[in-house]
Amino acid sequence: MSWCGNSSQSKLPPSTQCSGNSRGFFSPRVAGGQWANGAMGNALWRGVRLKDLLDRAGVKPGALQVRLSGLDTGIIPQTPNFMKAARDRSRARRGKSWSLMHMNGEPLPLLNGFPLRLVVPGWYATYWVKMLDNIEVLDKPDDNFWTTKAYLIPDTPFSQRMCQGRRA
Amino acid sequence: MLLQRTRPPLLETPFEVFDQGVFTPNDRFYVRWHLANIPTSVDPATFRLNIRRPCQTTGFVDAR
Repeated sequence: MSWCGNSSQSKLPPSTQCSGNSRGFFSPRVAGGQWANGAMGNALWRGVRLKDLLDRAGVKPGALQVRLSGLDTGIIPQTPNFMKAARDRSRARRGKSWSLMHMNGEPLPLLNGFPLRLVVPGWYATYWVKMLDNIEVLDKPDDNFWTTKAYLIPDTPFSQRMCQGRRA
Repeated sequence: MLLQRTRPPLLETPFEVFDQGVFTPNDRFYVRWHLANIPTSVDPATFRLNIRRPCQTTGFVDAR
């Protein structure tokens, strides 16, 4: 933390939104938080680039993706650890992602991910991991539950349902 | 805030907040967690960010 605090920092003003924003208006209704349009927001974020963290840790060429997780855990042991989504390492290396410690000029509130939160401009908040405490560099595509099954957006709405019907 | 769920906490920003300025105040910013157990406090003095690398030992970003 002290290194993060002393290293070069930058500010970013990206907006973010939950991938389920406005789900409450979907018809037919789908499972998940029944948000109206308020699962989004703008803040002025300030922090350290993920690229600098990876360089600091001595990550070598050949790594393919990075997998991130925070301090939140499930209630039962069977819950897969919420390793939110693998990301293209080359993107991370270009400095597009940020580990954030300040939000609108103040320390991150606990509910918004204190002490570190990843900010990924242009990506759903799914990737904006809160209470970030683990970064795993992978040399092959991620295969964890949340990346391969839970967070997929179909190319065509209802295509999954239609495919399941055909298989049946 | 609009309380959508308590555990994990899901808090929605009332839409009129977006009319009050470009930036959303921290105490009005929406909150969405996935897993139900989240720490209620984190001590930055002992917090560690672990970075694990393939075929390498675990590294810690901590330069105190």
